[in-house]
Amino acid sequence: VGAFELLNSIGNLMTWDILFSVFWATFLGIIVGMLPGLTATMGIALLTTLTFQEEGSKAIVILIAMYVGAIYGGSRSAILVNIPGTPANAATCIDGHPLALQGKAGEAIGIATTSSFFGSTIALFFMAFFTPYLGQIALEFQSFEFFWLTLFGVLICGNLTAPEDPLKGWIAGFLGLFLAMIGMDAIQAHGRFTYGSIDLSGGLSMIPALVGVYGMTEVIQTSVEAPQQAKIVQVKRVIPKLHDIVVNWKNIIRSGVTGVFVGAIPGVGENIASFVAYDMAQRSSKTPEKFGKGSIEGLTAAETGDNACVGGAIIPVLVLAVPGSPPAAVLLAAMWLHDMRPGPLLVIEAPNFIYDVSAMFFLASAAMLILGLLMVRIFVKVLEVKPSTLMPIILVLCAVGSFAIHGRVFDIMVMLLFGLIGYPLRKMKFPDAPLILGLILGPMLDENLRRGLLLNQGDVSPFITRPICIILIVLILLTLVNRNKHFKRAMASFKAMLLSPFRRSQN
Amino acid sequence: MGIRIVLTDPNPGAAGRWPVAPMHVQHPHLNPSLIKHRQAMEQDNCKAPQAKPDKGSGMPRADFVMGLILMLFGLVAMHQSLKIPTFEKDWGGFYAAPGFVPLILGGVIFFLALLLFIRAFKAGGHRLIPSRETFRAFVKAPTTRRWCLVILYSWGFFFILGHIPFLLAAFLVLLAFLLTFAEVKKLSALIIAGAASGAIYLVFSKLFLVPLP
Repeated sequence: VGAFELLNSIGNLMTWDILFSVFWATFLGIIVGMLPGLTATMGIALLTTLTFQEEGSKAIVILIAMYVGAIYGGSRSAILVNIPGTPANAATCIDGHPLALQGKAGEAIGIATTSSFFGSTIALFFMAFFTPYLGQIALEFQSFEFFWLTLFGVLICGNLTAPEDPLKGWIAGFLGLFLAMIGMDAIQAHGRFTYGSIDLSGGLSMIPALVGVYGMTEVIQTSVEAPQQAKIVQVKRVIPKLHDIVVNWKNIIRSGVTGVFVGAIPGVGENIASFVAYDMAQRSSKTPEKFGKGSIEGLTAAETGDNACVGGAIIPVLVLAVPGSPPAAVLLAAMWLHDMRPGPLLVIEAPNFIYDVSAMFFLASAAMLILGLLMVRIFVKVLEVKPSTLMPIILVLCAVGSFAIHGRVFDIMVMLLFGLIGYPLRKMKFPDAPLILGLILGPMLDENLRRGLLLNQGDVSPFITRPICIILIVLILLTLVNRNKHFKRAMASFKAMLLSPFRRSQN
Repeated sequence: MGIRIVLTDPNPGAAGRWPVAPMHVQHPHLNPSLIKHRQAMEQDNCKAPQAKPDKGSGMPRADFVMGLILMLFGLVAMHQSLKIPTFEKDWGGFYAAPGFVPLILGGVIFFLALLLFIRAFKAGGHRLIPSRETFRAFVKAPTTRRWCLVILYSWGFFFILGHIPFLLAAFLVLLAFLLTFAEVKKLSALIIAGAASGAIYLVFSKLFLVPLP
């Protein structure tokens, strides 16, 4: 079920125009991913602004190709210069670069490319065949559930993107939620915090804010900190050995499924997925001592995990309109921009859209595989571009992109302001992702909380008695307390108490 | 000729800080301030304490100031939310008011900022006043100067947009950035700035039909 629809959607996309767009966007994505400082989120945000004149489905296929290409592209710089091109490829460095230093750069790139493709294929399977079922479950969601879901999304994102200090992740998330309150509210259409400004009454535009947080902040950081350019390991042949793939099949499936599930968690992106997949691969490996010294298993797990996460992050975008990662947040904003309405009603209003997006994802993954294996020397040349030369060009592109959507100079100011705020926040270890997720989910939280209360004349009982609400509340509480030492101690003693009868019987 | 870097640690991830690998930079012809800046940054990386999980981010002074700022922000947010009309007569209760959710969010931000503030205070973040040497070093630090210049150039670009043609504004900001931050000769900076601004103008206004500021 669904296979026919998927094939049909792939067939519909097989036009020269779309294929050309997929290839150039994937190519551009790989370059963006390779260049340290340019991230997938920034690339998608910039491309959203520059393609909004295009027809909706063509624009979305371009953005998905950029997303897939950028997450894969980061592995090149991770392997060749030991710097992750995007945060998603940090785990790739651990084994990818040691392999390159051992003279196996080509082999490592080949493994990374095929693993990325397998990761995407596993994600495609979940996207195409599980998303419609998830969509049916999402139909059960009402205002009450959506309120808790948005809150859970911001809190879990804050927790996982700031593992050293979740408090800062939560603060960033709530700041994002608050900033989303600026402008006209959805129920009474009353301007909030606008102070008479016509520009503010429309709210802070999502894309300029995203471009500011990810693009402008990077321009400031790179210019201020002047990162060094590393020595590039040269590479010749990248076709991987079949044996390396075959012996890793369990690892590939496990990492792919892990990547999809991590991706589906709101706001938690590819960087976390790749580390979780890497960690799981090391735990279940027969040769864990090789990890960190050039392990094919480690490299495979990291690259399968992060690319599977791309598909996983798109799943909640489609069925809940809740992004699974920062790049998926931009993708969601782009869908809104093109009058597409992902969310629970998607399975009723436009059921084929799920297969269309899956088909776009498949084409982008195929383009990634072809470009990744064939175009080696050009991509190595790209790494010679100095970030300090590139950053002013990014600044101009950020300004052009922010202006392009509404033709307002005010949006350039929003972009610059978010860059201005984003840099000190980043230096003080406030993560970007919860801020952005808060901005995206703010209107949803506001509207659903108030609508839920209005429908029940202020009665809060549906918020705390409905089954899905209870599950979400428990998850929120666990998110809040799971790092608390008293909670950890209590859980440890509870676990010991539960296991004690079994221990006695063993003795 | 670019910078030549010799990597000495094949496994930087294991060091716990990412992606900082111990590096020795050889700099045959760079300008002296950039070399000093890089050496200072390398030393900073070596001296930086390892963050311990669940013990805060190891920057109590910054957290103390940020906690104060955010507490103030939360209070102002709550105050401003209360000034928004409630429409209680038409819509039932205060829960329907446009300011209801911002009020809660302002309160949550205040509470979380208070936690940050208390934690930073306990860690000694209230000992705010830096010594004269520290302050002087901060003011004279290359990073401070570079940060000021980035802000000046980017906001300068914003303010000249609309007053002069886009092509010229883009060329000027590119040239300023390249001459200040990039390791390129003046002629190369001129060529790159000219080519990049021209390409951006042509690609976006003619190919993508995107309106330019």
